[in-house]
Amino acid sequence: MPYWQQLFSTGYIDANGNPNVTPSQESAIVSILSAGTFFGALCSPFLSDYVGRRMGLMISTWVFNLGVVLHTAATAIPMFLAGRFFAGLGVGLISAMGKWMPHVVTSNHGNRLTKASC
Amino acid sequence: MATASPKHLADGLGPVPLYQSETAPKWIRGFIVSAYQWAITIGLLLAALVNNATANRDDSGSYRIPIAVQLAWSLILFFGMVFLPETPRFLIKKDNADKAALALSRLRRLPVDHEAIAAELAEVRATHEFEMTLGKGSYMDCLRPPILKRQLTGMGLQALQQLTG
Repeated sequence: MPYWQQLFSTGYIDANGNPNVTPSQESAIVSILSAGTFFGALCSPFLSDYVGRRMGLMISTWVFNLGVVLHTAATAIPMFLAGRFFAGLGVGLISAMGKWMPHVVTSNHGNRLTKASC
Repeated sequence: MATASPKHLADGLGPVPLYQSETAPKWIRGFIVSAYQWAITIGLLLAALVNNATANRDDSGSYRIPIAVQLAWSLILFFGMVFLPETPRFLIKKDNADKAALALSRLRRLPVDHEAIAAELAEVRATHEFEMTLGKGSYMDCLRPPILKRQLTGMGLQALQQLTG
């Protein structure tokens, strides 16, 4: 993605002589999504128990949408980072709003625990 | 795609196991919940295709297109949830038996007073009451024995899975 590398570069020139983001900037961009997912997953049970599974999911999709809009609009690293954080937060909320629960739910129905674990 | 950017197109695809596990009929519940993982894999494939198609564009579409495509899945999920009912299990948890029966009757396409609805609601209620007898759990419980050992086992497995690439 030469266009992106040039646009988001803060002056660093990579080994091939092209403008690019630094390795540490790249690491931050990659991992901030996981950081968002971490907090999203932790918050998810509180949201889904408080406002309900349906409303919780609907709210979570808009957290994700906010993130997508932010990093679609971004033309520099800071906003891109913010976008990926919120996208991660949304993903954590959405996917964890269930990852733990099938086990809890189905274990009470006997052997379906194994079938439902994903 | 040497760069860090939009690798996660697939992330928008989450049909969400909690909602599924609380709404799907028992006989197909396992399959439906497992399909979640399958959907993620399909999403990764689509992501790779879109990334590949846009990576060499010489405009902002090179990163904006693959990122923005994720909105589609998220909006599908949102508008789908607008039309779907709350889970009966949650409504039972909130002591709202009437709404729970209504939600279940919509999910099963049966009249509210059908015996199958009553039977399943009774089962949901029994499970809920059983869970209440177990007392409240908290995140701190995960870090205290006897749960600590399984917590670390689970974390270890997940970490090793990631480390194998």
